[in-house]
Amino acid sequence: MVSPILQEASRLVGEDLAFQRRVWRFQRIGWAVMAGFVLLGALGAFGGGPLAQARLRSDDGTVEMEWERIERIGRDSRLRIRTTGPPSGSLILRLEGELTELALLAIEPQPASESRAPGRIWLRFDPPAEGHAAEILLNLRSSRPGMVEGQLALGEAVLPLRLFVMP
Amino acid sequence: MESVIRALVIYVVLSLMFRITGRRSMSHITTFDFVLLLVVGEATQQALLGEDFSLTNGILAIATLLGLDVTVRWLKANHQKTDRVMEGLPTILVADGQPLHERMREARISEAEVLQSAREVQGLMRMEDIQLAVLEVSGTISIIPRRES
Repeated sequence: MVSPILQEASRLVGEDLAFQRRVWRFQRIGWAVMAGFVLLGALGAFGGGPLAQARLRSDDGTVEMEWERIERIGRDSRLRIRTTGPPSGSLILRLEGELTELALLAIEPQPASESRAPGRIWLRFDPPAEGHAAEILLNLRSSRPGMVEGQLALGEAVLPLRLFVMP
Repeated sequence: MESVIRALVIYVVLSLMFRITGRRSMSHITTFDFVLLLVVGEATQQALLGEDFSLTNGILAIATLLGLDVTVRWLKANHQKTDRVMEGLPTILVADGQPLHERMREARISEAEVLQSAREVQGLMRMEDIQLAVLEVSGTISIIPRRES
């Protein structure tokens, strides 16, 4: 039961409690959404965490790749390619498709040679020490948001690579 | 084009986030609130300008933000519904010396905060001396003292 004093005051002040309760409910939902956003961010749903990490092995099982499938503009993302055993022959890494639009900020080890053609990049590396598996690290950075699709090939192994760049 | 979109997104997201976090008057901000505002400004800067630190980009971002602010103010002045949604409405927290606990809980205002306002604004010490305490849209608490009959 609302007292007459409160009723009169409510009218004079211009209060609308039903509306204000909807606003408070909206705020509570908003907090939950913000908490969810922070939690997802901490887990890497927007890049830089376990949820963004991806791993793929080629069909023949000779090459393994790890990368971040979710990335953000202006942030470096690491792509790790390794052979499961000592590589046979020369080590030539081919990047194809939209992957060539990404900036290659760092390449480890330094490639012995590098060449480019529209939609394709070749990187030739010296083979690792006798009996060791090879590992190549690339630091990628995108300057535009959206899906980046391409493929990566090392020797006979071909691996599709897809990553989403957040704005 | 990109600068305008960035500024637009930042404005909308910041307005929404501050609306969600609730009313807080500038006169009642704590030192930590102030530091938080500075940090928010710092975090926003990069998102607003990207990697383009040119004078043109800076002026474009500022012009977009101010333009949006003027538009929103015009909308609020001319459309009562927009004003209600964006600013909220006053809420009575104390009537006739009786604190309205449910409303205070929902508005996240404690009795101590009402009494603090009562002391600051009207020099009142007790809840019974308050005729009306109203949480204004600005975040301040207005106190109307009980009249002696």
